[in-house]
Amino acid sequence: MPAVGQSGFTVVAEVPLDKVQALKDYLHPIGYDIKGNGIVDFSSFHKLHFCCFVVIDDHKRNPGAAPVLVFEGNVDGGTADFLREMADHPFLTAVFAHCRDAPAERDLLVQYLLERDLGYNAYYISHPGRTVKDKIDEACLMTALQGYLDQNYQHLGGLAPAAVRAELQTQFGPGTRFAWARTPHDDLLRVRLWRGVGQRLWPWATAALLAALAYVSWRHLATVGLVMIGVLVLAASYVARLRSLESSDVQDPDLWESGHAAHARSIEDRQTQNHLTSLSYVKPGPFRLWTLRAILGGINLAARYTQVNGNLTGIVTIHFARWVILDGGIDGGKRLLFLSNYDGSWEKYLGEFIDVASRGLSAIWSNTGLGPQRGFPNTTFLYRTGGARDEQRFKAMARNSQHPEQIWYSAYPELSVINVSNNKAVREGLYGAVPSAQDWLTRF
Amino acid sequence: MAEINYGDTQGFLFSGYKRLGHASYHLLRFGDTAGAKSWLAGLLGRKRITSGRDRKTDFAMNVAFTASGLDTLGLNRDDLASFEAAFTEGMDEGRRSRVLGDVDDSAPERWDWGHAGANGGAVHVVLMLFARDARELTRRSEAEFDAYMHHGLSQARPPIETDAEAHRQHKTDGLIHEHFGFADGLSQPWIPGVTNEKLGGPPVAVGEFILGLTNAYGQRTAVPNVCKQSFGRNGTYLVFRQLHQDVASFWNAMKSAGGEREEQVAAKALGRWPSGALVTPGADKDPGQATTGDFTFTRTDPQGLGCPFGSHVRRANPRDSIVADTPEAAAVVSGRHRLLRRGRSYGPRLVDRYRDDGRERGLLFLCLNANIERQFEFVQQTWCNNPKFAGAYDELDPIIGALEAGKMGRLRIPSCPVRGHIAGLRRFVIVRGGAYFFLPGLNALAQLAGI
Repeated sequence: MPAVGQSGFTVVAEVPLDKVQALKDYLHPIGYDIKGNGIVDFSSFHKLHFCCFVVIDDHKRNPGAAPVLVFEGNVDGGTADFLREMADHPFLTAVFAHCRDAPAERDLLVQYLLERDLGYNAYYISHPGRTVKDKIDEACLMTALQGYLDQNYQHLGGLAPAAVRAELQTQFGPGTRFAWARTPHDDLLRVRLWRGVGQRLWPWATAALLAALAYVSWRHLATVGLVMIGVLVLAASYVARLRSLESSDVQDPDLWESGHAAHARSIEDRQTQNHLTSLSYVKPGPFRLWTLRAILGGINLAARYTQVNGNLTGIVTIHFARWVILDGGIDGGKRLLFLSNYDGSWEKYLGEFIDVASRGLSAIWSNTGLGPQRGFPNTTFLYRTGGARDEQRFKAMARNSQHPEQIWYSAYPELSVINVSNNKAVREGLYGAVPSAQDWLTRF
Repeated sequence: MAEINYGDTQGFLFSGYKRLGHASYHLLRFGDTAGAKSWLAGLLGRKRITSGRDRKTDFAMNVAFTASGLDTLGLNRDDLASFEAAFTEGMDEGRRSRVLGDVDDSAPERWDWGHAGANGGAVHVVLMLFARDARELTRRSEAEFDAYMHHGLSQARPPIETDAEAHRQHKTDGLIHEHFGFADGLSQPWIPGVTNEKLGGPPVAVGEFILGLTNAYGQRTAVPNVCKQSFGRNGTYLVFRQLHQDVASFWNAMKSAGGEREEQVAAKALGRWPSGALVTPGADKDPGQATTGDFTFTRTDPQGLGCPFGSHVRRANPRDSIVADTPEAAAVVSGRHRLLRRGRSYGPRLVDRYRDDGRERGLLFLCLNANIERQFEFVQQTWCNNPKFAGAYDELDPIIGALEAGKMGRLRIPSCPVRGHIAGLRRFVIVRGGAYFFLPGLNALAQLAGI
């Protein structure tokens, strides 16, 4: 069976000021009791990995911005198909009845949602090609295998590793309810390409490209010379402009959280996964905006083609994350919305960013701030010093940019990214090639 | 160290006063602001508070305040907002209880102290006394009792007394053993200028424990202000939790899990043998010699065949084995979540370790850190109480893990060819009370007293 890819939608709909509280009041009890609220059972949407509804009302900080409802979704297959299915349920109509100009009729509502889907500027999926069913099936397989190992530990302990694996293959093979595990899981083309070829060959490919360029330059020295001078001049003027902006940027003086950050924090840690909604303002001017777009575009490419194995440049706790550039900034500028579904505590998540991915983080967020005179911790050359590494200031800014969501749903709240990767490796290794049987057995 | 101001910092930061085996902890409430200030002024006037400079005395006393205590002493809302959010919200705040595992029998509503609804009311201040013998301690305690009652303070609960000698096992190296029977206090971070270099391991920045100095990120932790003046310099946050240990439940669980090998099972759960020796691959009985000083895991025990990945020792301080590029990088990351522990066991030892006698015993867990959320709470939430720690699916710390009532826990024991496991783990440690305190420097104390 061919692999099914995942997609993400970010529907942003305006909410009239007088309906904001009613919308929050409608959403809150559902989010508070995500399983037993009686209005909507999200687990009936089998293609849904994670979704979130958050009302962002920033008009105190930015009187010009209209309140919006952000509906984030991470689904199997295409966005339009999923929204059509979900719109069959009266829940969506009831939610969007609070939004400006939303139609009640199902097909028109789907069109309304698709028109307002801003997609993303950068999107990361931890296990592209693995559907909700895949993840849950593989978790069941793992649980069953663990149970078997528990019960038969005495006699298994005396066997050689290969013999243990052979016994498991028999007990969980054809004829049992896990017969499906025998068929290897098809991977998406781009995942296969990277894992099979890209990962090993990219240094050679880069070397070949450089050799080709060198050859071309040798043959057309003058033209290439001019082009290079042009590129250098552009780069130098970019850097000069960046440094002049950075020297005059004012970082947010606040080292402490404001009151509303406490609210965002109070809804965290009800399970082992958490969600984060962060909204910041892009610094004014086309320079900052285009730098941001370029960096996000680069991250999007890297995430899509090379970070396909449950690991985003060293961070192994993110399930799905995205960055979206929105309107509604100060004086007609833009805003940057970041939505993440991750494992573990906020403190660990941000700590990981600081320890492992501070450069990428600073490169993105140094183009934003909480408002005029409240910029991201100062950096030089976008990421080289300061920024996310200014630990306390960075964490205070992260908290102050957070908005508490009203509803957040996870299809597998008991599975961490590492669990999913491990379950995948166990399933693949039951029949497929493994470095050694003992190596495979240490996964249990 | 040039930066540390020994004269202005309270002695408790530099020493647990091990030579002073008798201690009492007075958890008190202020009557009113005037009384609180005059009491504190009296304490300072009699030069009672031990500073870092005179920590090697025969009697020591230190004092720390909760957020509501500081509030009663006259700090306004802006001042309090400059303290860490965890401190001002308090240990018993809703989400924090989830994070720390303070649920069911350990929920703040059932605490003896530290929660506003407890019998004695909210705690404002803790006064800690340390003396060489019981008579001296009693004499000093009574003197302090007279002083604070005179100024309108009251006890939130009767003072908790501890006697270190009762827990010292002379047969095995003279080390103190906690109530489950394991040698305790063997692992402390080496903090240049504060603790002894012999503890080994990579040095931990002093700013992780003293506000105003350089921390593990190479930056200075922001210092709380009072009236816009830097008030928290040379101070720190003190975490204090009274942990009841259900010794009989623990050893009965170890016996059902391991039968005759119950001590080996218990050692796997803790990560050390009762003597304090680290559990190493291949060992099946106690070598008898404590492992002091630091050690690493990636070279000697990369697969957890000795000290299981989920064991208490490995969770409380993963050292070089947490997920990172290299063991050196991992050690740097671990170094940002260290605690300076200052606790003592309390309560009489249980005579028959399989039969409970209904008496109160356990550990007074005290630790010092400059950033509560990144240090103490991180260790609790992200390491000990994290069901996904080290790639696990649903396992908590087998010794202190906050298992839900009625739920059984398990621990995976890596071995070849297949892993074993311990089942039937319960919650063995119940929280009886707790609070976050601020331990100010001496100048700050003078400022609070209005001098």
